[in-house]
Amino acid sequence: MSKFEILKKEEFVPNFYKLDIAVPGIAKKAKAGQFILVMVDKQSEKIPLTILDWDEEKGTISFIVQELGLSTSKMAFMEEGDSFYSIVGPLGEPAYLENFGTVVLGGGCYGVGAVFPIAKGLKALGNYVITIIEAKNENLLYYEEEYKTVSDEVILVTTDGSKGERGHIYDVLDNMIEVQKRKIDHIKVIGCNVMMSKVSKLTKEKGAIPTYATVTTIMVDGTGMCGSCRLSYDGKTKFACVDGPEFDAHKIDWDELIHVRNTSYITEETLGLQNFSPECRSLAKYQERTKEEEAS
Amino acid sequence: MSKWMNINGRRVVFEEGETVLEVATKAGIYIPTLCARPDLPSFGACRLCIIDVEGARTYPNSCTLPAREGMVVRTATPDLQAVRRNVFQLILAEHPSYCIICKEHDECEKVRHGEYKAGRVIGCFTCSNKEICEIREISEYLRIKEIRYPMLYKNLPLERDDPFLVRDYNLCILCARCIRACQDVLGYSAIDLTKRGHDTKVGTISEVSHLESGCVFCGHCIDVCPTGALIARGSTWFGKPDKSVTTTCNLCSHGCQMVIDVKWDKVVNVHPPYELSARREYCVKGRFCIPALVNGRDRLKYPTIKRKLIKEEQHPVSWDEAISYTAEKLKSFKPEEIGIIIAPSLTDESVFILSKFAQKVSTNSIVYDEEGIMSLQSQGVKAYVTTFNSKIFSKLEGLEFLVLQDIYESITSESAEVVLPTTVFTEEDGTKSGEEYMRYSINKAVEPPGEALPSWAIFCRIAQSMELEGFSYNSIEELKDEIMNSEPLDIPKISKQNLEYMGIPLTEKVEEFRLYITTKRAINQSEGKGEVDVQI
Repeated sequence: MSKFEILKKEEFVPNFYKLDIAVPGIAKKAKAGQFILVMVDKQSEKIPLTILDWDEEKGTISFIVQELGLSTSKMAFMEEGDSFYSIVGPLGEPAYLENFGTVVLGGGCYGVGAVFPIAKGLKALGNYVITIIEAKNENLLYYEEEYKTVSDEVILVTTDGSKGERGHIYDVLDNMIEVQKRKIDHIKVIGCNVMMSKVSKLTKEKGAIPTYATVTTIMVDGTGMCGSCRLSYDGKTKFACVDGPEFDAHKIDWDELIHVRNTSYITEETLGLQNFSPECRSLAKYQERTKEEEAS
Repeated sequence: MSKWMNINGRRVVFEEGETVLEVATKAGIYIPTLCARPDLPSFGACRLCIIDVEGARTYPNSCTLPAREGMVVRTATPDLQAVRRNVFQLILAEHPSYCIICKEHDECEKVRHGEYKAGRVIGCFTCSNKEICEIREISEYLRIKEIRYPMLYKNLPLERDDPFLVRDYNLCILCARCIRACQDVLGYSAIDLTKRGHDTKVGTISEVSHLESGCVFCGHCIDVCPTGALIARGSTWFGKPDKSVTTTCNLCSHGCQMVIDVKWDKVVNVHPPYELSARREYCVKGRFCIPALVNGRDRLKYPTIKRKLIKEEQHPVSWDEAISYTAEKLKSFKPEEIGIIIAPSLTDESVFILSKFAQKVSTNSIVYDEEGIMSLQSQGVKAYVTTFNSKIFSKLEGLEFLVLQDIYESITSESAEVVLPTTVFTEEDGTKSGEEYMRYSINKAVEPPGEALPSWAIFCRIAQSMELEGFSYNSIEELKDEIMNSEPLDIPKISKQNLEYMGIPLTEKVEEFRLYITTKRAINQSEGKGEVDVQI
């Protein structure tokens, strides 16, 4: 087991990979809601990823990564036995957990995985946990069975209604508050910024139910030096890496985060893919086959 | 005598042999279709172009139905639209189309700035083809808000083992445009419909890689694909280009017309003009290598002069300094000691200026290749002005002064005293003489990096600095006029097999191309075809 080695890699739904990595140091100290910074190779950027699960005894951590850019593409091309160049963590403040009463957890996209340790923690503290997981379609839903073990209710919601309810997390929440008149003490959401901003807007209108969101920002060093993860929070500037990543959703300036901060490097991100050529496996496959033919 | 038929109550003229779809399109009547394309043979796969023909029992496809004298046709009756919607929903059931029926569809268009750029496509929001998708156009035309059928994701693996191409057949709607472009138009048959029934997919024979299947990577399958199933790696995810410029490829003398898509003032994609897209074969270099070649981060941006401060190396200077330094130095040599070397990939304007410059400063004839450089050496040339780099310069005997004009840093920059940054053909205007006395226009698409200048402008400035006459032009038009009125130029031709541009091996600057060449060589070698000949 070498340093930062991939012990297990699995694509459980299209584009979503779960990686198990050997990092005993992080496994010892990780807490729910914290993240790590991963560098794939020497020239690669650093990208923040929420820790999904950790095993202190085995010294392993796991995280979910969605393939959506250059670095995550490189990860998708890595195989079991390959090693990362560097992993830093655990970083950020742990999620705010206590016995709230009834808690609603919302997860979308990669957030479906990221919300898992929080659900686990909240359940252990004696909360009544309702988990809502969202996906575009049935084939992109995952972790349904796992959530049943850590929450009292699991609600599925898909964009096209192929499984569970049709719509989005905020539609389900709206229904719970308006129609079912359920009492919700605390809400936590993880997913894309757009979804979180919409949940935040809804809960603010419906009597300011405490809502916490784990923001997704661009991050470079993860220790509060570069400032690329900054966001406007309650009129002040906060750094997602050291002050967060979990914030009170009602105080975040979502428009700035979505339209200004997270689109700053679109040009570089896209041009970065222009000369990306993963190791060509068709050559390897071809050589393998000719060898087999020769042998037979 | 012209023939007439009736479409939607309009009398429309047609010629013998035209299909109803062609007649309607010519008359400006829209009939939705996903599989028909003017440059491909008719196929009748999507069934969206059905029409109501008076007297017919069923709704025939307009793309395969030849027009007849006196035919009465309607293209959009309520009944037809209902059938069309149903047919289209069946197509959508096998295409990840959740975004089309999503409630947040309109809002999503505003906020998604393209953060999803890789991997399998799991909805329009992650699709590289989003801005130019024909499926989305038709769904808007038919106002699809609901899909009655359960959606089926085929869950096929993403095929990205081949260089340049990424294929995600989960998006494929089996319109067979790519197959028709490959087989019927270009005659390669690298791909075909494989398997039967529900498992039908586009693939190669016995599922070998495209490198072995006889694919030449001309990229036409990508150009004709109505979905995002086929994408060119490195040329996608940019969305709608800011502008598209039609120009001529200058990597060889073939003179292929190409459209350069520009976004954020960078070359992001190169493809044939729509009307030519399936009729002319492009080579892998022209179709895929240009963006990476042009956008290299290590392009030369400023003129440099070799100086010894701590150690002897190239130091950036202003253009004025570089020009006057070069002019002074060249003046100190006798005309028989100066040799001019012209790269075959220069524009006609640059070749003209360089020839004119050579006539005035040198008595040696102009050379175009390494052989010529050796002959210059044997004539006792001491100062060289070159427009391409070559390993040969580091071995030259009696070299006293070398002016290099280049686009990238190379081994020659070490022996050169002055290095002048120049433009690639996408960054300048001009003319290019190709094969068979054809002249093509080269049009500027993007700004050059840093302070790089076109060759002709550089040498005009050097000549002016040397107080030579006849080198002051106010615009390139003036220069073009002068060329028109002078003796025809002797423009060297570049073979299609040439793998260099201005002395820069393409394989060095384009990772994917290196992959392509090495793999092809390995395959050739193991099949006993020898190592050298990689056909492009």
